[in-house]
Amino acid sequence: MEKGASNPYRPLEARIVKITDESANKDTRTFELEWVNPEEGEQFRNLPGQFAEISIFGAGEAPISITSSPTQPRLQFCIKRMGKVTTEIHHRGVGDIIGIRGPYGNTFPLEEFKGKNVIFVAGGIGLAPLRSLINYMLHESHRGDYKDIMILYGARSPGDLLFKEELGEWEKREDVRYEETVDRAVGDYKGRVGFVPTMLEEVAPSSENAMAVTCGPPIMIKFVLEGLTKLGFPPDRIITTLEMRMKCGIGKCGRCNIGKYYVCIDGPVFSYEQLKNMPKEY
Amino acid sequence: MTGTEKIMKQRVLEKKKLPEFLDEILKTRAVIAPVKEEDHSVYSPLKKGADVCLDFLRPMKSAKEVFFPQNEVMFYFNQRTQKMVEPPPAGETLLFGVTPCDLAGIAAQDKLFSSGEFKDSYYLRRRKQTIIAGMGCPEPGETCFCHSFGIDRFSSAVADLFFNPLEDRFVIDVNTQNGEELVKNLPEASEKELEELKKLKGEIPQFSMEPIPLEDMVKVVGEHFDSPVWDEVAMRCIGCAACTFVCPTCHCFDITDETRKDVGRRMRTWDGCMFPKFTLHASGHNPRTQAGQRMRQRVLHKFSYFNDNQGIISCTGCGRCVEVCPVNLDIRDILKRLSEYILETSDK
Repeated sequence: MEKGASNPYRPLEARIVKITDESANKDTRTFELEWVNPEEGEQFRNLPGQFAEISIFGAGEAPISITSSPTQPRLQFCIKRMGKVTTEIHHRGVGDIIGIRGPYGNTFPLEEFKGKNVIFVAGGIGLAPLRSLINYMLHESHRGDYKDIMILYGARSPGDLLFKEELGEWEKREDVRYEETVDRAVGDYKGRVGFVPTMLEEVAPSSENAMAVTCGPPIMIKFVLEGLTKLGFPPDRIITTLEMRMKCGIGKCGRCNIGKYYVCIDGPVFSYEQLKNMPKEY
Repeated sequence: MTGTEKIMKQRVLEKKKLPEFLDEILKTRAVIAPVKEEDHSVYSPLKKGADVCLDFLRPMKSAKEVFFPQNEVMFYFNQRTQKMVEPPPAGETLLFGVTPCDLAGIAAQDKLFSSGEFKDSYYLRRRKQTIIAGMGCPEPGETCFCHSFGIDRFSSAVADLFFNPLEDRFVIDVNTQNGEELVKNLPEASEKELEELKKLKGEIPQFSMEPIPLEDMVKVVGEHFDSPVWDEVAMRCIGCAACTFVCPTCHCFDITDETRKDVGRRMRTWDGCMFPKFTLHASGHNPRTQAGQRMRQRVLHKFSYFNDNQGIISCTGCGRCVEVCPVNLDIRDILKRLSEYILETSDK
């Protein structure tokens, strides 16, 4: 069998070039990769919202959102240590080789956002998948396509806020409004304290000519969807990205099947409108 | 078949000459056919033509194993060097004696593994290297309900060749050039033999039940997704997934790595939505913790969702799941109960 594209289960090789600890308790890290075979890298064209299956020989594979925007030079994944495969990934260091299959899944509906205000509402590691879209939109070649951009982000504690350096950059930018909150303050944290849905209610972004994108823990999403609906966002202008148990990532193994959809092919990006018409099995 | 292919003449083979016919084919390719095992048969590689056993209505497991093995090495790897090596191809094969229900199962799996942006190279390679010879059924078994899906004893679906059993001989339909290659030295069927076959096809088979009504599935998905009827029908289910394993159309699988020191292999193995941990997340969250939810997924996937996506119902009425379930669950009864439930609740 020829290698590469003809066998969709065969991972491509990528080398870890940089690791950044994102959380204070070191359970979340961003891995930055370069392709071992640049021609393979050329074929790998991801758009915001997509994910890849990260392969570690001996441990298996895990589906992880691509947190880097295609406008950034290298592929990045932000991975929380949770189970067998993610623990093994955390044991890898700079210079180690891991496997990547992808890019899989659908993308954020970029065309639908054009000419509109965009409100991001993220909680905890939910910021990781949204970051690919945020950085895509903020890139100089795209920023003009969108109107006002607002980022509402919260985490359990200041140490759990991810991408801290970038958060500072977003806060400084004139063309982005960045608001932050933590569930509980620690140390000399001077910012807002409270849950993300509460911050959403306080900031109360206008739903006029606006789209909302949200990702975070299930309980947060539940309240955020309610909050956005109260603010007047119709279900087809609220976008989210689902997490689901996956294996093959290409719609064959059946594990991520919900209704007639496969989260790995028809998702993971879904509008609230679509979610309402899907069985509540996620 | 396109209009430009010539219609290939039907051939004849006397039943007593079958072992000889298969021995001849064994010279140039592997042959997989029903073989006797204790009190049943299974599709198994033949060492010699005489090993073939057509005494049983159908083999105990479906033919899907030939293209979608229960355990398959995807590739070998070395953890130190990160090198990967894929296993060599299985080689040219004749799959002989496939019942119409199993042919329909292959047709359904063909759709799944080749549809969409990503094609399953493992399945397709085995498929390409295999000539399929179907075999007609004498009469339906107790648990057979293929007639619910437009399948009958002579449905040849994806077969390259189809052996129609007369009293003492087979009349062979030749559907493809690949099939023709294997039977070109056999005598052509006579008028008399074709008449006999026509008469046989005209006989109405006696099934143990009427076809199952399937139009209600849309209603079930739309209105009864959260109904308690699912817990009711799944109450005895112990989550053993035997039904899934013997089913010709079930296709769920797992991918796991096995290692010994530095070397290992990535394996594909059968899995099933009936297992409690099938949808368990690493976080501990599980969307389907109850047997009723898993039964609902099985039934709706087979009779509704798969059809939405592939245009085929993911069941061929072979009845194996009914025979093999250790707690005597019967998918036909479950479907009937769902129809009943719709009627019961529509008056309210």
